Amino acid sequence: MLIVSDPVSASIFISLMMLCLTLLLYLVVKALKPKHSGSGDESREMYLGGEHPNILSKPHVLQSGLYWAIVFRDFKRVYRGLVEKVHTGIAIDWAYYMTAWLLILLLLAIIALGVSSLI
Amino acid sequence: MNHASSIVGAITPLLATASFSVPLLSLFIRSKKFYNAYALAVSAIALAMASWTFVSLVEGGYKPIIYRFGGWPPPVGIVYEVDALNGFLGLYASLVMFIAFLFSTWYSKFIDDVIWYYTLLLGLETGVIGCIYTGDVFNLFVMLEVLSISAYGLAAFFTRRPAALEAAFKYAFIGAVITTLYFIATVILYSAYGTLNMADLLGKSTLASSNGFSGWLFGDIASASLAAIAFTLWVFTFKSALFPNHFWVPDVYSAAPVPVIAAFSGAVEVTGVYVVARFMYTLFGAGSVLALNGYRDSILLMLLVLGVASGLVGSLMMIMQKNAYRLLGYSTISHIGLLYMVLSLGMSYVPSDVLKTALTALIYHIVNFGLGKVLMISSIGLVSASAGERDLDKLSGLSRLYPIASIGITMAVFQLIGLIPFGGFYSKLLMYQAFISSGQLILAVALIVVSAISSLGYLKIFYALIFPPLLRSYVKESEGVLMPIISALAIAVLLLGIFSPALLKFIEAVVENSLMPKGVEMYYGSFAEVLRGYTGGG
Amino acid sequence: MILELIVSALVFPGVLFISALSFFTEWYLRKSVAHMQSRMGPTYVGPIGLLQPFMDFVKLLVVKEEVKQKHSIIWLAELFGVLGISAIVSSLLLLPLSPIRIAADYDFLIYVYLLGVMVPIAMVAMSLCMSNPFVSAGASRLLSMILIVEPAFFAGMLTPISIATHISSSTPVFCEEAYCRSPPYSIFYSSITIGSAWSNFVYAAALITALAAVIVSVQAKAMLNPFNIPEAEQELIAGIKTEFSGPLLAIFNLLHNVELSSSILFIIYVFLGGPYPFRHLSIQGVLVLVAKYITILTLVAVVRALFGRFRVEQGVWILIKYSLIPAIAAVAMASLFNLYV
Repeated sequence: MLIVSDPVSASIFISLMMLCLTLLLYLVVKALKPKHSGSGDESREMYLGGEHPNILSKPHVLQSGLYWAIVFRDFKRVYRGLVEKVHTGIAIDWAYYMTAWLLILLLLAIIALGVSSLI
Repeated sequence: MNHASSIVGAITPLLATASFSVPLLSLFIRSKKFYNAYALAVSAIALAMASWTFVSLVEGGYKPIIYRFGGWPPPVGIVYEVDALNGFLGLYASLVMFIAFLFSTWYSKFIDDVIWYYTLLLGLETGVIGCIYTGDVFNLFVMLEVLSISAYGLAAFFTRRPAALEAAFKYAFIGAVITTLYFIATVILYSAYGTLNMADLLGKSTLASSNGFSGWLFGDIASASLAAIAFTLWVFTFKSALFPNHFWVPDVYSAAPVPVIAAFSGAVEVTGVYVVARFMYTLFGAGSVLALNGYRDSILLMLLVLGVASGLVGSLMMIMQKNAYRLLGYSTISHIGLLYMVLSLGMSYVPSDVLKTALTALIYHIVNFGLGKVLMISSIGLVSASAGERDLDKLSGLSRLYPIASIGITMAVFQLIGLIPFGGFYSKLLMYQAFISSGQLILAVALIVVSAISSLGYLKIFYALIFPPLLRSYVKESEGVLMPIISALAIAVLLLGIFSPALLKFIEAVVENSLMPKGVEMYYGSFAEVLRGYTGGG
Repeated sequence: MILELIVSALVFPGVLFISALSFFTEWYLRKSVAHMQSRMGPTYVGPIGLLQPFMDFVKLLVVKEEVKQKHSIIWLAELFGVLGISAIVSSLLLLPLSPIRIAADYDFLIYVYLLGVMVPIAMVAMSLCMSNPFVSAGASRLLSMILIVEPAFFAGMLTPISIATHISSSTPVFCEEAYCRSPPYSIFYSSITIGSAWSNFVYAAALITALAAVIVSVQAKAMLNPFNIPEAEQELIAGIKTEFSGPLLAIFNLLHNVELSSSILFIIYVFLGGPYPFRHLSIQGVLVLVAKYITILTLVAVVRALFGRFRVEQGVWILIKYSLIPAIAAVAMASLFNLYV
């Protein structure tokens, strides 16, 4: 059976179905899961390839480290440009970029004036 | 003059009076609780008035409501003209401001001097509502000044923080230059058109109609419009933080009081977007002098390019931020970029049904993004203000202390990324629809690139606040009023998605009756009707 | 209607079918790669090891108990994993394969948000529920690949759909009370019309480019060699999978395999027109469908066997070069051709 509808209702229908399925599957997993045996009651330390966790200064990676690779390695050139050329934090640099945008607007205006004088 | 019209006229004077009486009241009353209640009550009244205005607008078939200050006829005196668009946005902005005031009642325990805080915040609301409701380009300048000066004050509110002072200084320094340029734009407009009334400007620029009050033209309107629009766009892209005029946002966000940040991203920047839409579609629409020489098309194209650039720059910069609010500042920039991408689809070669989809997406995304952002800011605000920290690394795992904040952050992240049952998805769906049906597939790809990059940025907040274990013990502050705010907003963003079929029909009607040709005609029609009342039906 | 919906969601093409397909996919990948590398591959359970992935799954889910780590949030991880799986299953309703099919204007975007946004976020969030430096490093690598892969996948899939929309706009397929039109950018209607686009060599060029780009991006989405960077054994222990055990590992593996097999299914329908040139309910149609699935899968397996793992920045650069740029070029080509053809 084919149901043709508008995208908004279709996506609401699909998302409701997704939520119901999530609930159902979650319950199924809960039911199938082996019950807690009691022997593993004490929670374990994290697995670090055999090392003890006290070699870490913190038990998790800080959020600033999460994208270290993206910012400083994979897209190094993009970020260097964005930070060192554009977002320098110096007011004069802001004014530089903002004036460029104003100049573009005015330049377009002058071109448009030329066009209208030609017509 | 009916009730709705008097309410439109009363709302900004009320707010302004309320704002200026705070310092006077401080001579007699010093209690923090009193000012909390006072400001909240004033903003609640403003919200009620804005809702009444909008309801009577809908009941009157979206016929624009005009209020004449001092009873002067329109082109001579100042008028407020509320049509479907600014009626809706006025309601939205006053709702956001009301939430900001409610938030402030909780936040006030971290503020020493609530008197200036509330003076400035009420001033900010005056400016926002005034800019949205006004029907006069010079009054827009006045309201812009009210808005800007309150904004500078609020940005510098924590005077002991060097970052706040630096941000406010830069913002105010460039902002002062910018508002002056807008003043010049109004002068140019007046010198050519002989009028400052928006509907009158529309009549002269597009419909070639004159009236007995402002006469016909006084100069070369084609070149005057070019110069005026150039300056105006520059000013309001600064207010709405479009790349490359976005630099003030992250700095100001990183140090301003938290409720103010909510007000900024929910209401102030949206005001800038509104004014640009008003100028590009009502005052200088597709049939105006601006469109004759191709200038309108070319600047819309520029806005489109800058919208894409803003989306990319904002979302790329989000990834490397450490300060939670700085990150949210860049996320605002990226969303403003998306708003401009759909706002600028009004080029002459784009079919009008595509434009209608685009503008519906614009309005719907304003609501979705604004409420999602306010939800995000109040959830993070609960955590960060309690801990006295804004650095995401130092907030690690803190929202485990506040389950409601975890829920709020999760819902806000989903809303801002645009996951499927949330409102954010539906406005993005309309955006894709508009881009694809206008034949510019590459814009749809740009939108998904921006979404993909920015979802990494949002994931960072998620990762920092929710997942890591809590290491130190903290004193837990009580959630207080933030509990209802966050839960209401979290439900609201979900409802925005689930009820989007009905909401979209409604917003489509708003767009049809304001920015589309029919609405523009109605905008002028109301003005002409008021004029006929003076000239005796002529 | 309700019964049909339940059948579609749970049996075909829902949970049961797509899980079975994903077990087969895993078996086929392992077996064929092993064959190319002169190894045995799975042999223990079932004829030629066919049931091994299934038994692995059952063992992890039902028998093994998960290791409770100190800082982890296991229930949240399970919830995210299950959410990802149900997002994929729900998206299958958009395919012509399903007894209950949903078609709407622009339903392609629903698919993209379900499979391109919801699933990666579920996967990353699932792994981040486990606090471990290796997990974070793996997640970080996964995220930097997603940054390239998802836009590439979107652009690549957009190409055939825009072409099909253009073709079918002149020949409407859907009629409603004497008013005929063809819903634009709908997966169902695109898969009906895309087959005929291959005969036009201009379109075929764009389609081939996009198909290549999409297969590369699927390889990376599924974290198969040479893009198995996020789970990088030996280097990061098991990357995002380090802390998973028992039922959680079963859910993660299932999510991963279901994502791969559903991506291939969508490629078959969107690019190759499903059972085109035959009909669904014919023997030839089913055979063609299976043949197409095996072909794409073999391509994936060959790529997996040919390459060793890339380093992260290498992988990202390769993805930009061989997936993102060709995909965007194909979209640009398609929109140009749509203007002039």
